[in-house]
Amino acid sequence: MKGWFFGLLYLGCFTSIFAQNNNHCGVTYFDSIPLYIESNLYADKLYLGKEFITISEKVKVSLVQRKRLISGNTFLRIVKKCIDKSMLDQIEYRIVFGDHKTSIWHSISQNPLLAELSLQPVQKIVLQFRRKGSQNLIQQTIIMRSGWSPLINGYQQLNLKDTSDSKLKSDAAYRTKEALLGFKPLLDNNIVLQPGNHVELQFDNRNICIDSCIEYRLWNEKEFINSPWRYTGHLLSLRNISANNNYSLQVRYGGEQNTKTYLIHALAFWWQKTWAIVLFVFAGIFLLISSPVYFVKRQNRKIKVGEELLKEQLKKGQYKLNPHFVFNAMSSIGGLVIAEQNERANEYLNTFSDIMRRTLYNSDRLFIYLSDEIEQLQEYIALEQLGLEFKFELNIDPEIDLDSVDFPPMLLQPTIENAVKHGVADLGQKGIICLTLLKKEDDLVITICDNGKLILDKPYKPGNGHGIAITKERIDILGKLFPKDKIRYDFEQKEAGTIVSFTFENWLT
Amino acid sequence: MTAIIIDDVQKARAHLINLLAKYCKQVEILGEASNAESGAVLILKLKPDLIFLDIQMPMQSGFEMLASLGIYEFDVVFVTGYDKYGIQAVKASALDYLLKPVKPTELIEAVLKAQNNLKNKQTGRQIANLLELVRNPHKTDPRIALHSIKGVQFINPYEISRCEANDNHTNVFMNDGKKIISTNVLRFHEDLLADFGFIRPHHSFIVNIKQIKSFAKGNVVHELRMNDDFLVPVSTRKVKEVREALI
Repeated sequence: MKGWFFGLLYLGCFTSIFAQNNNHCGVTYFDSIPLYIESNLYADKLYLGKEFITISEKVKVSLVQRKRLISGNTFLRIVKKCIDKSMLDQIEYRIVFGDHKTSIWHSISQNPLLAELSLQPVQKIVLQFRRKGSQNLIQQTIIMRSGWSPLINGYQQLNLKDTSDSKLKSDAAYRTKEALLGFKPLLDNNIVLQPGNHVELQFDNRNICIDSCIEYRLWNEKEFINSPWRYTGHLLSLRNISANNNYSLQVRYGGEQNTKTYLIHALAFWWQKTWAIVLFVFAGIFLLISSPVYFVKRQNRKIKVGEELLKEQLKKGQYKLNPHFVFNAMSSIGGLVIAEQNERANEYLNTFSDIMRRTLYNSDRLFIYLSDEIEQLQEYIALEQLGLEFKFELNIDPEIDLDSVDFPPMLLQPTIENAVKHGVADLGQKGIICLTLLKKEDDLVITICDNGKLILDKPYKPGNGHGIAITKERIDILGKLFPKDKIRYDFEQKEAGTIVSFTFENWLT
Repeated sequence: MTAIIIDDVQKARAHLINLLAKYCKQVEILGEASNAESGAVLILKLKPDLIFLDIQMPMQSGFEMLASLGIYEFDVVFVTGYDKYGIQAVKASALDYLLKPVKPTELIEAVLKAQNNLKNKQTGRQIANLLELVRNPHKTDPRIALHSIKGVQFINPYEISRCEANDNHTNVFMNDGKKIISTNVLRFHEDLLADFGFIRPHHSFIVNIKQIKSFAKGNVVHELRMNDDFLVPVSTRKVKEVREALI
């Protein structure tokens, strides 16, 4: 009865101080002599009846003292009859290392600490108790250090879409010795993973006192080995597995030397295989070479088509000789022949043929020389002067090199024709047309003015005249083709006459 | 100075005879022919110093007539109405031509030139060159004739690197570094060289496309780097044209 009381008293104490402290893991072991065994990691069940298995090196064994609080996290009760405190004086104990039974018996003193041991892996000690003088053992406790390293029992491959709760699985892995649902047994050290999958590993449950007692490190075989150790529970979930890599997984119990290494082969996706990579490289090279060529070609074709269209428009819109002018000129020449001014007639005929030839020659050109354009205008004016006796003034800035400046053919022709038709036609010898070419910095400024009277009841609006419309349209197309070289076209109608000015920006660079 | 006129249009011959009588009194007209065959007979019989030759005639053209002769101990001035291609070849052989209707001023000039040519006997070679150009326009090593200050020089146009304006003259730079000073203005060479792969990127330059090393934007304007590392500026309106020519 006394033993009972003793035991229950201790039981009361322990339940109230049940502590979760990793540094003071211990088991309170009730037999005839109640013992408290402390170790960092241990299997919390006694194996083979009376064997206490520790994983850590240090083990401390002490008597459980009455009225003292001892923190432990496991409570084991093997027999019901405990020894009365008063009998402790009559009890002696000894520690037997291995098979040596020659160790000295010690009497139990007031000091509750019985032994503080450093065990080698797989070393076994036996703690024996007897009454003084008696040969019969009251109690024998075997303490053994394991040579264990963590053992992987099973694994499960998961793809990235997997959403199963690993918390629950993790709890289960700590509690059960059986394979978790969906886990395959692992027969050797090699785990082969399908590309893109990750893996969960289940460790063998050895009733270790705490769950997170296993340390692991994982490294890619292409990288350094020095990855840090990390703690894990009995379920290890490895998520950072990349396809087409080999990994090594090393595991050990916390703070222990014994390690075990597993190999994880993450298979390659099809596109990571050599033939696929070769194919990709070639395809890449092909695309790299062909696509810019293709795009540039397409772009060029696009631009070219657009430009060709504009150029065609420009040529088409090029001013054609006015039939009025042609027949007037011919009749003027005819008049000279009738008047027997044959030499003059011949001269004008030559001029006329020049104009015809230039018109033909320039019909498929975007630019001619400015000198040609001016000559053509002079020839035209000369022929017009045959019929209408107006004056013509030509002023050319000596800084302009006419032979080296490009000019859109017949751009000025309609304006000059307007000056003749609407300006000086009615004025006879008083009529004056001025053509002025000026260089203003890099701009070419061409002014055409006449002293024609403003007819007030028939205002001459820009845009009405055929010639003006043609000129504007051509300037517009030129602006699209050569956006950097702007052409400004200004029209000014005054009492004293009309001034039309063209400004060709940056034309003389 | 003796001359004959070969032209199928009677009125055109009469016009030319009148003009010569009036403005070039030193020219003695030995005869006139209305077609190539009788013209050839006249040339062989009369051995004139100068022929006024129409290019386009029925039956045989002026060029074909010249080819049939084989020997050229005379000077020739072509007279034509509108013949872009024929004139091109005439220009490329540094021969003279007049456009119809013939203008007195141009006629006088042509006759003076012919008189000067009597002293140097290059004409035969020039005519041979002309016929070669007409017969075989896509020849790989054609020759063109340039009026240089040293007289007419025959060069392969593909061996020209660039032409550069030099007042009224033109500096023609060859691939081998030689320089020929042509007595014509730059624009004369533009038409002349257009068929041989030349472009005019700037108002002062004509360049051989094959002699261009690179094309890039320089500090101010676009520039062409030639094979001899000479930099040719490109005017803004010509950038597109140059780019298209280089692609």
